[in-house]
Amino acid sequence: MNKRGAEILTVTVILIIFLVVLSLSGLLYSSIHLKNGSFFWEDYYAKEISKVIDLASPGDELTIDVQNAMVLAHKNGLKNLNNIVRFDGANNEVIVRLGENKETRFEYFNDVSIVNPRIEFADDGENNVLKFSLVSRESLG
Amino acid sequence: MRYLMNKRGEQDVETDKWILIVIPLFMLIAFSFAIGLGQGLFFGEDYEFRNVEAQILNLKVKDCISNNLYENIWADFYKVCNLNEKVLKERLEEVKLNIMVCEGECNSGKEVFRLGSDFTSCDLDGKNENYKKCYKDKFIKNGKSFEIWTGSNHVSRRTNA
Repeated sequence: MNKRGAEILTVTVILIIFLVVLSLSGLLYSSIHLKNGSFFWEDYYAKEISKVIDLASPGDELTIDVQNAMVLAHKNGLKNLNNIVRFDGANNEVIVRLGENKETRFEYFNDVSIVNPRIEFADDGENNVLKFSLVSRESLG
Repeated sequence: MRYLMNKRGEQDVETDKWILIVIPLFMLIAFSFAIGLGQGLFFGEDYEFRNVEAQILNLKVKDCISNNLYENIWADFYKVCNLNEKVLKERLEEVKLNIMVCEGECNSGKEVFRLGSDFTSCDLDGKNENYKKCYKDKFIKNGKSFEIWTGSNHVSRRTNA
């Protein structure tokens, strides 16, 4: 191989290594971002909580394990973990927020009102739960 | 002779260069695309809930018809069945939940209640993921048979916090 050939080969190898590192970094970043990202888990919790509400009746008190959601929200830098799950009574929506900028909304069709929603933090920090009660809309007036 | 050898040597280097660039680049792009696609499919998809929601809605309507006086249900269906009218009716285009109640079978019997118009896609379940997911159930009350079709194409909304 002459000198020019060697130079071309070197440049090519460097270019390929650069592209490989760039692609793998992108894939790694997107993988971590998607896995720790809030989208799927917000969607999951919003739908599962709305399922529980749809299947419940006025007078029921519900307790839902939200430990995984809280760990994720904490990892994503959310300061106020009391508000990771909220309810919009006017639009019958469950609102879940596990990241800084976005939140996910999902409607429940059971015609009930949700009262006293709260996160109860466990002493061991490992079994935190969301608690709330359902009442009929008439009873709230 | 020396000139020819040199020329041939340069041509080989040119060919090697393209092989060295094109094949790894092609593999890199294909590999990245496959991994990206796999990740997107695994992590990026919605949590599939439409089948479950159609079943829950069906169950609630069935319970409502079973537990109430038949004649009293239809005039104020949402209130009697404890279903939120605003979510189901006013936000139908957004929430996309459908209900059809029939005496006998829905394909041939009398339709007594309907929310939403499109039930044809219920028969196409499995052919396209974007079609609504449906649930059909039959039951008998006081010797009269009913069929309830419910469908859901309800997805969550992501908004700015």
